[in-house]
Amino acid sequence: MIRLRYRGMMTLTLLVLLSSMLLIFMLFDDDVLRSYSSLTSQRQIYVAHNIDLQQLSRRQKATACAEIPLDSAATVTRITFERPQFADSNRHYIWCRRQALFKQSPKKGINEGQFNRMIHAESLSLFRDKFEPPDKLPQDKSDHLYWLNKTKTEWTVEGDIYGIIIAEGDLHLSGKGIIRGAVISGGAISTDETVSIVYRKATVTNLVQLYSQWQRAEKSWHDFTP
Amino acid sequence: MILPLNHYRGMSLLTLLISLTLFSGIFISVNQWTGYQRKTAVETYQRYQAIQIAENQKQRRFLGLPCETVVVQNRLRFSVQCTDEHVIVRYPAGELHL
Repeated sequence: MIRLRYRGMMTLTLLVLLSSMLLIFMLFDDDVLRSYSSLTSQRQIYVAHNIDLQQLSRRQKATACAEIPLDSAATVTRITFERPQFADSNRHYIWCRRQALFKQSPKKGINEGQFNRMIHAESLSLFRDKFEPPDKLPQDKSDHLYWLNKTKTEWTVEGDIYGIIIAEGDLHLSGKGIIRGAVISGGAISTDETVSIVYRKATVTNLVQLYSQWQRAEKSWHDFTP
Repeated sequence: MILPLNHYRGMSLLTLLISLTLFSGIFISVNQWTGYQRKTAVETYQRYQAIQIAENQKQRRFLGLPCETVVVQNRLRFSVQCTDEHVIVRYPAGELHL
């Protein structure tokens, strides 16, 4: 009787072994399935966020660059499109490029014949309507940029002038006063003895930054962090 | 002679029945579990396809193309319904809102 019972136990042991192997296999399978299921869910969230950001960046890309403040020395800036509620930090970006009137900031008061080295001729059209009319002299101490074209080679100064004077050709300064800032010309500069030119760094830096604008760099949209 | 015969008799009817019961129990549960897993796998795969289709529709609209109404992929029929905000994809195992 003891041996008979023992034979039944053998079958039982085999069954237990079989079922435990199956259980392990099935649990492994279940795990793989779960991971695929969560991958799909993550994909769904990513796709939804991505489409939202895509539309957001398309709506805002035309105006985003113009909203960057000008008072910095940077020449490129990256704009980020994001939603605060997106926990997966999915973001889209574009680059903005700075288009400036000045190739470089003037380093001294009198820059004789430096017109082509200092001024971006191709971006002139962007700023032409911002120039001060050269015949009107302001009384305040704010910074101004005066543009004298090729035909205007004489200019009369009265009092203190804060700003940069740019002449396309020769320039003769008459009158009485002090120019605080810088003078840039394409030709020769001559002044009356009553006119003096003093380099003022704050004015120059301010005007160089002011006469620039942010523009969207072509083909700079990206949705990854390099 | 009786004892050795007894010794080689094999399992009794009762043991056989118990073993068969246990085995069929295991077999049925494993079979059901496998069926459930297969169903889950099919659902996951179809959902993934539906997400891709919905994304495609969104991109089509982004580019100014009209929405498709029916997409057939590996003999499965995905019906697409576009509203102003959302894309709804219905597939045999369920439906997806994006």
